[in-house]
Amino acid sequence: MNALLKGHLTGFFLFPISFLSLGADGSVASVDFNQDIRPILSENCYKCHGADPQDRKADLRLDRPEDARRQLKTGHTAIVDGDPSRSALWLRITTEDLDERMPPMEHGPSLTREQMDLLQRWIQQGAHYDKHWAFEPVVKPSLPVIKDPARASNPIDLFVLNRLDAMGWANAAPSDPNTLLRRLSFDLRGLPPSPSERQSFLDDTRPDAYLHLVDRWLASPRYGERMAQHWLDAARYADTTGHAADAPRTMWLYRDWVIRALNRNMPFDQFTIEQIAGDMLPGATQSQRIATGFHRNSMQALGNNPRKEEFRVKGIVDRLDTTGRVWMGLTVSCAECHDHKYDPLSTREYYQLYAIFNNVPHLGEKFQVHGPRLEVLPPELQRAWDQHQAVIDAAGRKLAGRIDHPLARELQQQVEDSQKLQEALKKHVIMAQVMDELPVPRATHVHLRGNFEHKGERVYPGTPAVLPGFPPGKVVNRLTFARWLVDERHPLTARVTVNRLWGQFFGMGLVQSDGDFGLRGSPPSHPDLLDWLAITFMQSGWNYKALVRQMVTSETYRQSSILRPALADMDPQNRFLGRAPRLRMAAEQIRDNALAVGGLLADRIGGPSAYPFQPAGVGEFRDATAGQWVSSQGEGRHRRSLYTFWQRMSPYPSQTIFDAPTRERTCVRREITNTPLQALVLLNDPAYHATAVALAQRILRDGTSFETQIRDAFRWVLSRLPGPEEWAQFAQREEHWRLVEGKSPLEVWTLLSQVLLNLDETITKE
Amino acid sequence: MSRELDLQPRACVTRRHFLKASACGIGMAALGGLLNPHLSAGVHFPARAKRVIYLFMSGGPSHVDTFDPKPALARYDGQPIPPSLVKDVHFAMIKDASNPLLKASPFRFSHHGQSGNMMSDLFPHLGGVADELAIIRSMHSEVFNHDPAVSLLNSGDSRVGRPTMGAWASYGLGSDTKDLPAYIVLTSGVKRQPLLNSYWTNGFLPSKYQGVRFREQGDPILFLSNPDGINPSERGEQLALIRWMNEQRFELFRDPETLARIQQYETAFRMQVSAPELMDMHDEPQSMLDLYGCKPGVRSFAANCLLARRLVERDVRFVQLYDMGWDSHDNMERDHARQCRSVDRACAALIQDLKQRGLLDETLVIWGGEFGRTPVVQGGGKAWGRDHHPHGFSMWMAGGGMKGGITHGATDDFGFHAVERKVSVHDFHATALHCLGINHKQLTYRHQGRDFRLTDVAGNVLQDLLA
Repeated sequence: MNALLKGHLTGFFLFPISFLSLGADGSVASVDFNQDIRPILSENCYKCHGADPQDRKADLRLDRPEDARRQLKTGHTAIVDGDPSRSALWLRITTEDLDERMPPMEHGPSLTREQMDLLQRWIQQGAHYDKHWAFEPVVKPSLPVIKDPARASNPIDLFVLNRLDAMGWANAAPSDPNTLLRRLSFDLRGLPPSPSERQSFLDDTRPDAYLHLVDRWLASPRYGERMAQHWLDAARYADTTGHAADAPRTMWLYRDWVIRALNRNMPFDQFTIEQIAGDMLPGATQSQRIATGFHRNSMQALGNNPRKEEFRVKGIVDRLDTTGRVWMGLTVSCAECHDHKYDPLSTREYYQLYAIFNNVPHLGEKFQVHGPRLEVLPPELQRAWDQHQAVIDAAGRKLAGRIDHPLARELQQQVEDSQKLQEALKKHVIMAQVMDELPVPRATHVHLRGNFEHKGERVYPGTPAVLPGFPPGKVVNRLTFARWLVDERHPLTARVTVNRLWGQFFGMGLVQSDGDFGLRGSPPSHPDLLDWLAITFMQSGWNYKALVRQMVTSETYRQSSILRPALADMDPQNRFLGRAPRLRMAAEQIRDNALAVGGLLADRIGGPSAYPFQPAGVGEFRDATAGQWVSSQGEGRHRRSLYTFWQRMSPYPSQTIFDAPTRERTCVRREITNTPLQALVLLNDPAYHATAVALAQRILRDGTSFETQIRDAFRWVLSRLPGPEEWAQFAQREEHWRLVEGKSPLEVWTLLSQVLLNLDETITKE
Repeated sequence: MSRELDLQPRACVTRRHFLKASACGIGMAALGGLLNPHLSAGVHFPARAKRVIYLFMSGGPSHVDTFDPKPALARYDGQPIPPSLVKDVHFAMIKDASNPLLKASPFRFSHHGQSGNMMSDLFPHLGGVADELAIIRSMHSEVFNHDPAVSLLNSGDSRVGRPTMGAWASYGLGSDTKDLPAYIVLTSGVKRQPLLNSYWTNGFLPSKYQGVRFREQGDPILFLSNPDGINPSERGEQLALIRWMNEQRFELFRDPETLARIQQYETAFRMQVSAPELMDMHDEPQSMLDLYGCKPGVRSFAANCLLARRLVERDVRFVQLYDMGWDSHDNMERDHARQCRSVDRACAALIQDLKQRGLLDETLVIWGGEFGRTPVVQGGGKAWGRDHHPHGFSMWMAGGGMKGGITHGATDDFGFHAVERKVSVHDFHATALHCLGINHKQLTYRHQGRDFRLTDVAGNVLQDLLA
């Protein structure tokens, strides 16, 4: 008997056919490789039997069909088509002999009966391998037909309701208008609706009142600020260099570029190209160069560091990691030291990508450690500069060739004056961090085991074989790479982008692992919807606002977020979208909301970052190079949180406590936690206390009776009116503090305002 | 034990479920497996230690002047180091790396206790507890800049930003205290290198596992005090109203996050009471202050050691003390003497104090820096110093399941490279987790498609060191 079969209870695991899952027509349901088999193999087998030769055991590879069918030195064959009982794979996972059993005990638990069943059927059905879904081209799916199409307001709903119908689950009722208004306002503008905005929405009786509201807010300049918040996490935007020195540097011109591009609805393909390779576009404008600040957001050690080359390499590694996750949903950096264990990405291919980013001038005399920079005048000064330049040019034209011009002297004087004024403006020049390309590319070698000092094979720019190639005959550089990313044949960029955007509005991507569309990522909950959105997005000319509009006008978005216990038990993560998500707001929204309802929020868009109040001593152990936090006076205390000076190594405490990332690296999804430190911020941070005082003053200014005061307070903070019990509770408290404790109206309303600003409802997108 | 801080309420939806989950009692760390979908760790085997106090000597203490005596350095003082030892070696600061000169230690070494564990005369008090220490002389890494090296020691990766030991420990074991954070960081010393927030980061673990640094000025925990003009009774009344409103919201939306928020407000309120009590040392007798060598109201390493004992008494999981000022590139003799003086008595006192309270057996105490210092000299004259040295350096551990009175491993004759029974940072981590009852291979967290561990893909438990 074959040693493999020792102790193998054949009868126990060979299920009778009737036990197997049956299709609708009674036939044995066919197994889908991507959906059923690949997750089992990649989770349990590929670590030792995958693409990485370093870790491969028994010389067996299961990730490629031809290798899995090859006879091994031992004489066994992992997969024999159609015959599990001769397939070592199946025998080894089911054997009773624990020494033989795969996966080995120290690597993890045995497979479940269901998993064994699936593998058995898969082998019986011929063990077909399909390409991983995310690497397949995006194909436009047909729209599903649902029982009652009137329940759908756009195609998104058809896909979602189709799945819910199949499960026999109902979607939720539409949200209450107050809640919906608030949800939309925070999603599109990051700010609460004002009481007057609320009133006019409630008074608008047009059937498409909601659509009008969506369009109005999409056109608001606050939209760009709100959307930039997510993009800046992905772009790891910060105002300091990171590492120990954590020195300040000017990056805000890039931040403002992002806000402007989003407000102007720059097509996403152009948005991509300008950020990755704007400097290489023919006749690149100043704005296009500033856009390349995207990849200058990488952390940078200071100049006295003895390992300059190591930090240059780290910068490139970070650029690849960021590009991989943000555009392609790939964890490319896994292949820095060894072939990717799960995804089809070899170390060699990794360094082909590396070669594309290896030509930024750096560390040379001219650039020192900082890399290329661009002299830029702030926008308002640039306008003055242009006016002076116009005067100079006009005078020049008039004078051209006419020394005897009657006004020669006067014109000459004008030129000189304008030049002097321009000279004075030069003092205000800002050094923007930008990308630039060496005229002669650096030679790139594979770094053996990820060590840049150990050079392996020479490689040239290229892309992974699993993805479409570059157009033939083109030079492969950063610009062609950027264009390749947004080529419509690229299977990942559009999918990853619509998925990330979906996550912004629905709390979770259709692919839950936003930054990993690879083999170990989670499969999409609604694959057809994902592809439909991706295709529609590309066909619209990568129209970002249209995509947002599509999402927020769906019934799926507009339904209630109330949890129904029965559904919540069956679908605890709400993957089927039988309700809207109910999620704590991001750090920025929580603070901006408090500032807005207190009437303190500063309006200004863009410009240098602000230093709102923080207690002394927060950054007490930072390096001298990092500079001191001197809290702003005036407007700087109350600007939107997006503009808070982002110190990587000592981030603004109340923002980190609410899960804002440090932005040392790219972040495509923030965690949402619920901690006691968050309660301490909202209850005690002097900056939050000040917003409660301001709100109290506003309430007392506008209303003289308790009745108007409490209505106003609820309208400002919660966008609704108090219910009768709430009314009674607040009235009782107010009376007690006023009459029994003898507090002034301002003191009483400060206490009550604090209560309102601390509510779960206030800091939650419902 | 409370699981309130660790509740993942998404897993339990109805109020009944929630209450049941939060009522689960002592010894339910494994419950984390039920509540936390990412968590594959429970207690894998009986824990020897429940808690950790990690005394981090920031800047890098010199091993050849403290725990690793090298007579050969005295014999060859001032002579070039054999070239074979420094082939391909980079120094952080020493400019001419081709011909570095050996430098004898100015400090005298002697045996201590029954075990005869050796240390230099910079540690007269620590000598008194020598039989409690497991000294490792063969630590090694390749990382010789401060922040990547601290990162490596704390998180197993020289790239800043991975979850740190304290975050892993509180993620794996949850919190035993209702009133305080599970992972607390205390700081002291002479500022020379910055201390970065990333040294106690949760990395990609949820931010509730982040270390909370007790500040040296103002409130120990940020925003702990009520704002001016709000007294405790008003605060209590506010909280009652907040709670009532949140309960109303829960009745409507049935979102378990709302219940978790109610709990967090109560925890915050308890913290406001318990943290000042903790900081107020008036209940410590003068003899105790004398034992540690601290003065009332003065923050110092000694005061932090006493505070660390008070924290572990209150069941805080992981306390990390950073003492700054060990980066002696120059004036080594003067500065190291100063540093050792400021920690010697307190380290010894901490071990004695924990022991007499019966806490040492269940508290793992760790002492060490991010690297050692070069056996070769940097600079010259009276102001000579030593450069960063990751290739071989010393640490010690005590209590919490460690064998006392042993010395493990060795560096070469000049103290340059670890050569015998070498201990990597991953080995050190695997061992510390083992003491906490955790199999380091099974404490994993799924992040962006990969299961991460504190020990990455390496690490062996140092069985020789275990009691």
